[in-house]
Amino acid sequence: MKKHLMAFVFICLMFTTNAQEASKYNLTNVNNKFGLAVLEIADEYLSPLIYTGFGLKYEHSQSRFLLKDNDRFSTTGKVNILAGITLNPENTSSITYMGFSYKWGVNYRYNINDAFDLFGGANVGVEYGLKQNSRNVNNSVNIDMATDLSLSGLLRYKFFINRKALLLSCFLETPVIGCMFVPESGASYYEISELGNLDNSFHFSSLHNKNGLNSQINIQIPFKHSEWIFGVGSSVLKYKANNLLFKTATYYLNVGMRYDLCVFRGTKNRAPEKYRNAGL
Amino acid sequence: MKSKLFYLIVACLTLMGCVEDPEVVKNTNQNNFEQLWKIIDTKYCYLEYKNINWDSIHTVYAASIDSGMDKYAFFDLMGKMLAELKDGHVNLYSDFDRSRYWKWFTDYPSNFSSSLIYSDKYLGDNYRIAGGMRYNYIANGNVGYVYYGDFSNTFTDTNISNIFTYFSYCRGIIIDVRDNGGGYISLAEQLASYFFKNDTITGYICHKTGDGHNDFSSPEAVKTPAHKNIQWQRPVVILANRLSYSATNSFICRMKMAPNAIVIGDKSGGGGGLPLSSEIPNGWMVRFSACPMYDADMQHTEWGIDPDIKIDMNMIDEENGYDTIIERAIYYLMH
Repeated sequence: MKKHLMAFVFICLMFTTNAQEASKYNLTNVNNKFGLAVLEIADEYLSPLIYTGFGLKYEHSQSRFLLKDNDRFSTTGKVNILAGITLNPENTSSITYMGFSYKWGVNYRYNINDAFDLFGGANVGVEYGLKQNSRNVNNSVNIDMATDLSLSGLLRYKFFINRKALLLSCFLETPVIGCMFVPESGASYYEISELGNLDNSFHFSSLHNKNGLNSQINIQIPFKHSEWIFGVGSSVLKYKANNLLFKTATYYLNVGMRYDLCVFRGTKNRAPEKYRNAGL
Repeated sequence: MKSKLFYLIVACLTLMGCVEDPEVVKNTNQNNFEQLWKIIDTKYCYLEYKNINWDSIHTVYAASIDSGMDKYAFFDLMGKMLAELKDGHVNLYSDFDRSRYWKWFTDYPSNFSSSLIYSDKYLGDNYRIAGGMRYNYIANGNVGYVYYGDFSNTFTDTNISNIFTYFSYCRGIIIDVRDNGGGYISLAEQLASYFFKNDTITGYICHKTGDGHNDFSSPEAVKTPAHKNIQWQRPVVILANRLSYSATNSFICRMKMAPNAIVIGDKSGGGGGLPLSSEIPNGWMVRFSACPMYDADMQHTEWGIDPDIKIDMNMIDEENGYDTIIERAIYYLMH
């Protein structure tokens, strides 16, 4: 029995060691960004008017190379959270917004020259947003719910100031095809949620009824063991279904940070041979 | 290959212009009138049923719009236009006023006296309160009397369980929903559920699916579930008057199908259209009936529901301290 137990522990340890070995040099880059956003919401289910206001944004992204022996393909996972409050033009009513999205995608890196890299890719994602109009009755809430396949591109420019490497990046992303939830214009939440009547509420989406563009320009500045990211961005999404038109637009300022757990620099502290950093 | 890529990009860019930007309408009296008229024209659910010629109403009221009108005059004019719908669920809300149509109850006998139900003969001074319910024994302890005046005042299963236990030796109970102008429709369903033995289809609901006056979804069955743990299986009398409106109307509609229930009093006030909200460029909100509700026989409930026993308050009874409708309910339960 004792032998069996020891063999089992040994096998477990071996697997653990192997797992560490396999991922040892395939580094994961983690970015956390916080932003202040100007928010614009048009939701004809809740109101025919356009609401504007402010919000707070958080973005968490992780990227790494997809394969051990290939430095062309990388994967990126991204979480976005946005919360805001908006008012109608006469400030007589408000819409509170809470949105969440998760996207996972694959990018291909095309090395233009030493300074420029171009990343092109696609991602799949889910989005969930809750909008609540403060004074509506029976149509006080609407939900943004969608899954999308999106195309994205990122152009990165590396340059030096005082021998420090700075990165300027420009990111674009647009949804291409997916599925979305849009209630019928006259349906009340009572019928949707209490009676479960979801007829004609789920729609195929593509460029003909859903247009969106996420864009970001960021600059990464190294500072000691970290890199600070400053950027501006916008996210504009318009879609229509059931004779209803929706638009959510955010324009934001971002501040983010990436902390280096270890730094390879100069000749004494070179990066290991298998050092691999997707660097997105 | 390059030309194919070019055409693909051109096609994508063309498609990306398919979703237009939302229209921004300027805040003028004329635009506010047009927007309000359009909201009712496209979203209000009873234009055909009530045989209202909404186009001619546009003609009449458009002629009265003046860009120099102050907000009060404009509000009154818009309120008057909405009153043409003869619907208690239609209101215009501004920061300084709320338009309303109240003839659905002011043109009828009130059939309710608050001072009478709080007299010693009925609730008295020492009635009990559980959630939104006020209750006490009446008719020498033989009948349980519950007054529920607002479907916005919530109650719990425990509240109801305690009330039923309190009345466990009574021959029956009276649920008085006179002067109850409505509230949450989910509470109407919950209260009705205590009086059903089985889940029962008690009505139907539709909603607008397009801008046309007759663009409705297919009817969706509205079930009243039987409560799993708490059921009153002895006689129950529901008291109604014209001010029993909206969610209360829905409650009465459900109780008409309950096995041991009977409705006594006046025809309920109606309000069978579940209201939704919208707004116009000056920020005023409009509430309107959007989803017509029907009874189990697919009959509209907008104009109210007839009682099983129609009876009005008698002035002589009232002067002698008797509520004619409660007395009729007691008589029903005792015989």
